[in-house]
Amino acid sequence: MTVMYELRKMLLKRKGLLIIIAALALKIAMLDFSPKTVYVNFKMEDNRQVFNSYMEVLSGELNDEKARYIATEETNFSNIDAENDKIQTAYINGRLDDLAFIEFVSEYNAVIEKKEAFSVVQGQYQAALGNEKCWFGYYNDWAFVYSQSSQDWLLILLVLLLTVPVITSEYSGGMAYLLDTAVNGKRRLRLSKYAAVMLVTAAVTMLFFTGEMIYANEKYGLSNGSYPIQTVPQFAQSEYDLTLSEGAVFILLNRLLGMCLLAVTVFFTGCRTKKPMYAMFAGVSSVLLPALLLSKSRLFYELPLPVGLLSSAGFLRSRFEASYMSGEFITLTKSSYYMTLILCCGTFLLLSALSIFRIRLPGRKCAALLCVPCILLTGCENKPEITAEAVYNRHGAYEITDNSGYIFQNDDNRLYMTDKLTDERIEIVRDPFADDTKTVLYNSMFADEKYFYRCEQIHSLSLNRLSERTEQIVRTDLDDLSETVIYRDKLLEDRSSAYLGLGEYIPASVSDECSIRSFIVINDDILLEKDDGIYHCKACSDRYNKIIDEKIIAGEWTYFNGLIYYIDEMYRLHCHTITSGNDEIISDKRVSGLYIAGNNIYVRSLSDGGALVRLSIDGEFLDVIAEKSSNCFVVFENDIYYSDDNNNGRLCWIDNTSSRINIISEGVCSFVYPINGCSFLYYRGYNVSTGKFVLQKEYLNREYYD
Amino acid sequence: MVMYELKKIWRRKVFIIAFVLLVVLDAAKIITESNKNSYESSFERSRSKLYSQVEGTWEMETITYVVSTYQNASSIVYSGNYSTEPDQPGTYTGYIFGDFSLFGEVYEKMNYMYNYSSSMEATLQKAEENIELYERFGNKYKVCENEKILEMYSGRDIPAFYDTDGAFRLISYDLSTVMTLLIMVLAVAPMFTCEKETEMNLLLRTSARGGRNLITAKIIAALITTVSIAAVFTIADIASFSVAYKIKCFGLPLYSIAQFRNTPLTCTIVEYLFIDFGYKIAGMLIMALLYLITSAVSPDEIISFCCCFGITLLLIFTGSSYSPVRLMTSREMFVSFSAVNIYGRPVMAYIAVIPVAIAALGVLTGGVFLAGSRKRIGRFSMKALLTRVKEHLT
Repeated sequence: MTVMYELRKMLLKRKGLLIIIAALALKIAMLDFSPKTVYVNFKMEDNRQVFNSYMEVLSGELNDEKARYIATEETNFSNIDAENDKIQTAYINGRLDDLAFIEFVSEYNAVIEKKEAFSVVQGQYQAALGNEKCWFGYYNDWAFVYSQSSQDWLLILLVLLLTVPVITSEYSGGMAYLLDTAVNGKRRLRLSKYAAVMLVTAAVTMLFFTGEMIYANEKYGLSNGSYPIQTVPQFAQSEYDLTLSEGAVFILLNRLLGMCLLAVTVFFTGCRTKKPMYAMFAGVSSVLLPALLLSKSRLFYELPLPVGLLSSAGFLRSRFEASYMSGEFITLTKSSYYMTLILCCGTFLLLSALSIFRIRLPGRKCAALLCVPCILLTGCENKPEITAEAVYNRHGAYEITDNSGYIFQNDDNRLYMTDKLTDERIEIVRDPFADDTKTVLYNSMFADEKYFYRCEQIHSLSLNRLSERTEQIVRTDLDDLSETVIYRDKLLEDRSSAYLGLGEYIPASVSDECSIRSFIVINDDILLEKDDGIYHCKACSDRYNKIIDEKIIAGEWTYFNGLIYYIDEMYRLHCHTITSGNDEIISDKRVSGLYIAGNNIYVRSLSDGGALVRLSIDGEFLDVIAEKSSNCFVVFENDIYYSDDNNNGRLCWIDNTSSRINIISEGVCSFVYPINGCSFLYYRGYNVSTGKFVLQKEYLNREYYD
Repeated sequence: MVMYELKKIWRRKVFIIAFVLLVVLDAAKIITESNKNSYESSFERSRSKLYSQVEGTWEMETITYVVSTYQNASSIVYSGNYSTEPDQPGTYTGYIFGDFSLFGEVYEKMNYMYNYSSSMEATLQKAEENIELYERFGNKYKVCENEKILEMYSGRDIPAFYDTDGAFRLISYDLSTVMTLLIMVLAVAPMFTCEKETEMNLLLRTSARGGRNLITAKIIAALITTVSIAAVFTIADIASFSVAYKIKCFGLPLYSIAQFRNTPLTCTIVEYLFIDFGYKIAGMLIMALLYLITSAVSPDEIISFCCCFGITLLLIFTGSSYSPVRLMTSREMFVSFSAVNIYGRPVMAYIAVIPVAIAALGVLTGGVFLAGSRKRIGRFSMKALLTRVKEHLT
């Protein structure tokens, strides 16, 4: 009966029930908002439907039939890639009609969508070849459950909050001394309090675990519970013959024991010190200190402290990397687990007995007991700091743009502006410090009359070697070269609580990355082209929204009088009205390459065998300018400069009013940009004598060509 | 009254035990870490011997010795024609590859330190060019910024060669800060709540000095305690690192540490440790005041402890730009030149942060007075809030 009374005091009188409900709600919210864990396979999750369709055939243990199926699928993928190359070439050269091409492209896209999911299958196949316990199957659900098995600070604080006052409140109110004089106020009362504490601790732990399971079931749908635990890649080296559901029970039981050990530590400290603050401090320290001092050591798991049992997935994994990319491994054998279990149970029983039977240990013995972990700590195998090395390749970008005053050039990732009048060349980004910890890569650039804009990706490393990749658009005022960042987005960040060396380094998900391919700025509006469509945002605002939700061919878009013209993956020319959101295909021709000049659209028509054609601004066909062209062409004043396929890809010039073709370059040309107000253009052409592609400057002198 | 408040904190046996234990654990961690990071013992002995031989002011003889030995070892290693047997005669470490690794390490460090002033020339030249260019474009801010660079980075020189690895580890060591915060929670969190638990606060309200004077005393006591705890941990860190890594480079400029090559500071490493301590203290004082506010509004010690601990974890884990935890890891501000545009004048980020920190301290001190005042207790205490919620629900 006294147990019931103690429970009532804990849960009702001290509003424990309310606190538990609030903590549980917070836990669910945290599960939903916290970053995805590294255990979860993003490729599998993003392509879950396709992956599940594979699993209809492959799910379960590897056998010959499944191996044959995978080999066939691998051959199919390589065949379709080869076929794609052939079809693209045939279509561009006019040997294939539109209908057949569209049919192929849709078929190809359907196959390609499966490719990413298949790469996960291939990974599982490789694992199964090495270890027969690694089965095929969807595992993100269980991976999520297992990833929760670390120190849950919310649960720890909740248990402390509920259990500490049970014993200490009697002392702070002075009631303990009165109770000592009652018949049932000694051992029986302690026993009741102890039982109540254990019951509540176990119940709360179970409740949190159930919450996690329900959440995992709702989000991922718990399936394949009978598969071996080695199915989850992080557990592939596990020594245990357990199924996925048994693994979850293992984690629950260990967590229960860990939380009970924590509760008994707090109970014991409360009995000894009679102060709630000290009991709380002892509870927190028993988890936090090992996490700080021994996080990269076996002792973290093996010491008779709650922390090892609260992170019991470590035992299940048997052998794993101490921390991300450290190269240092921790091995936890079955025997070490049993030893830990015995030690923890022993500690638990000892502390329980000391608390209930009020056995008073002499101070020196207590001090000796405290010294044991200290001695153990000094011999611990702490590993050196991890290094989160990131590879970030510079590439020699070539881009040129201009306005009435300057020519802007990205020359091997260095930005220059050249005065058109004086020909003076100035480097735009003028940071005097060359720093190894920061790499800047210029993606694209844009200029209007007053400003120059550059889009840059900054990859920086902090002193803790945490990497971060940010993308930003910087506006340079051409009057005084002052700079303002008008757009910033964090692409990739090492998720870590490493500010004070606390916590774990977790690499950010690569799937978060979606960088800017090109952009246009119109006053305060920024249009961004990304892999998955076109976005709009206001300058200096952190909000942006997608206005075109379609994959477009890289760089094949332009803005003209409130309209966005773009070419989709199927080579169709679209016109998108920004204000109304209206999007329509304006030409029945398949096109590549897009240039708007005057009131005409110039495109390379694949439907006309790669001819350079002129369309009206509404997409109506006007005329064919050149019979064979590549995507490399520009319209400048009345002249069209293009790479002519009939002349081995050389840069040619054609007058808008006549049909005479004049050859400019010696070799193949892959880039052309005319400079407004100056009688020259830049092109990137093959230099026959050096055998390299180089940027060349060509003065436009029509008489010379004539 | 301040003394009395201090006595209340420092006479608690458990607090002292926990404090001493944490300092010992901190020192033990540093020493064990240094042992684990060292290579094989014979190599380590050779390493110590070589450093003691080459450390000191620049001497051509020493430089020539390191460069020539490294070049010899590297030519043999790159030719691939060398023995892997131990205890080879004529080698420093006992085997040629060991010589190559050891002298390579020393050569790299020496190269950086010896050529530091000349490598800075490029930066200064760029800054000069920038001044000229921005003057032409009329960008005063950029002119000032580059003038500042010229002023801060010219005349730099590293006068001697010493191993700076230990110093860098000391500067980037954070564990003691977490421990300081933990012990601070134990010291500060019960300052107001312990009086509520014994209902002493009701009695204190009736006394002449039980109001503002008491709160002032508590604030001062909390701040003194914080500074003392931080000082002890910092001294323990410096002592442990000095012993474990045999640091001799305290007198060298901060930029002699390669990771700080672009630091705007021209002070020595030991001076930087004081600066770092100052920023750390500012961050900790902010935390201490936050704990005091929490303590003042919490009905009992348990809630106060949980809230203080929760706030600490939250600030550490989220680590946003405005978190006081950033002040405790101030080294990131000193790694490179980082100026803030304040009314067209470039102000160094580490200076700009000082008024912000002072303002935060002022606001939080006001917050403690507000939270701890008599009126506040009645109207906004956690108990009153809960009662109001309860009334609202019923």
